[in-house]
Amino acid sequence: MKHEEALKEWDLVIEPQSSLLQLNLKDVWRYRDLLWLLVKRDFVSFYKQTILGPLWFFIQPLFTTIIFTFIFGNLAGLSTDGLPQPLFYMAGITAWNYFADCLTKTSTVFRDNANIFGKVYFPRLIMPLSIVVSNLVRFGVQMLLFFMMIGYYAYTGADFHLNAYVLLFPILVLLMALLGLGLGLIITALTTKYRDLAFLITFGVQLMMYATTVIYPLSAAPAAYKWVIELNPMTGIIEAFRYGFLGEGSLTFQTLGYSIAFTLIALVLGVIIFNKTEKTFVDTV
Amino acid sequence: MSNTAIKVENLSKIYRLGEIGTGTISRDMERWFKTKVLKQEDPFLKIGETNDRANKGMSDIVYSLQDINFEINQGDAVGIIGRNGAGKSTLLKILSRVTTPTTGKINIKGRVASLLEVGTGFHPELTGRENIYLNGAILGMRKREIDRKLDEIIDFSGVERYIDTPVKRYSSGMIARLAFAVAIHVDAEIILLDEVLSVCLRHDDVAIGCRADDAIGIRSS
Repeated sequence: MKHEEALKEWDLVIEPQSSLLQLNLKDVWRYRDLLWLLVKRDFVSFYKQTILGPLWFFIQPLFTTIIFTFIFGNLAGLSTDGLPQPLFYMAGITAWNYFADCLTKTSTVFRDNANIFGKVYFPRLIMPLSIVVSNLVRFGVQMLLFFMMIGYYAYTGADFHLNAYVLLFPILVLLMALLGLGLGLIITALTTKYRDLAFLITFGVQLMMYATTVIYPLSAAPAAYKWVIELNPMTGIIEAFRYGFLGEGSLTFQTLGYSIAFTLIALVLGVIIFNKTEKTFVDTV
Repeated sequence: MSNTAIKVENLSKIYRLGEIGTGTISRDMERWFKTKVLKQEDPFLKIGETNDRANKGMSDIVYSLQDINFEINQGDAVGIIGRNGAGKSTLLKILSRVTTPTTGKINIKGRVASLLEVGTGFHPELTGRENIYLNGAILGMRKREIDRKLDEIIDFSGVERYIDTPVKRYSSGMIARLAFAVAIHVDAEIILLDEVLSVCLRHDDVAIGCRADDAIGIRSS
């Protein structure tokens, strides 16, 4: 490798094209402090000059749960597999929100940060990674709310079963983060030059929620469309999530395995495309 | 061992004029087809023209930089002078890895700190102190390093009294001073400066002169 040889004598070699797989992950590691500072920035700036501060993290899922319980539970009368409705929706919303936030925020990372990226070099991957981690903080706070609800319903003796599959939780969180990140990276890279996809993503994510088992269980999906819903990689994750915490859901190794495979492919593809785009996007964004 | 710090060979950069629209996608395909499938030379390089902003040209592809070769030795302070649109900033952007060259190669020895603009990444809601950390990290400093230099940076900036106030309440001059103070404390062998000095130099000249001694500076303004 010519590139490697040159690097022995020089600290840095800048060339027009480099191999697709030259990802500079070492560089990303060197800038890890920046990652934490960006996460801190997001968190701190979110609640500056607010009275309720971090409490705002609770309010959104809480109100969504109330509205969903009213509309989908009471008015439309959708099945919740016999689970208490608020608990059922809360589980879906919390998980879905984390994925959706990761996806929508990373899908505009080039456009939103064009200013910084155009002026100073640091591994661009730091920015989307910081988004995923900041959302994780938010997700953690919302999980607290979910745990409180679980506690409340356990106290009132509602019918649900926390079980050993809850140990899958860290893996599920990682899957949601990486899936959102991977898809987001692909979209942000594709939209630096042609912005068409950016329009799709804003309402696409909203619509995709209905193709995921957030407001209904997979078992209640009509047989004719079930395969469409199962094609959605988030379905397997949310079903597993619900199965672990509440004991109802369709957790099979096929669906979860499919979600894992889909996530890994999206992630690898996303990182490669992002890495290729970051070098010249300043000229086209 | 030679003491060359920056070596630039045959550096070129082309830009496309006009808007990016539906016309661009067909050109992209043409370019992709000719270079990747037919293994021809990049057609854009042939129709590219010298960058002369005053005259109307035939093509919408221009060379912002064309076949630049130079070497800079350790200890040199180099200034780049040219008219608007001559390519000074483009060169600095390529050197600081914000964008890549179209052709050519650059070898660099030493850590690079590029100050193409002071205060990049400042967040208005954060305090001066928080912004020192954030901005320092963006410029490539480790947190430990900033901890160590914090007092020095605050001292240099001369805004100690406001350091725990959000920077949105600062005057523009104060923001510039703070940002410059952070930037100048990055440990680097090579410092690239692009019009940053136009902002905040009055009686600070001496201090900056001293620091620039141990760095190679490339300056454009």
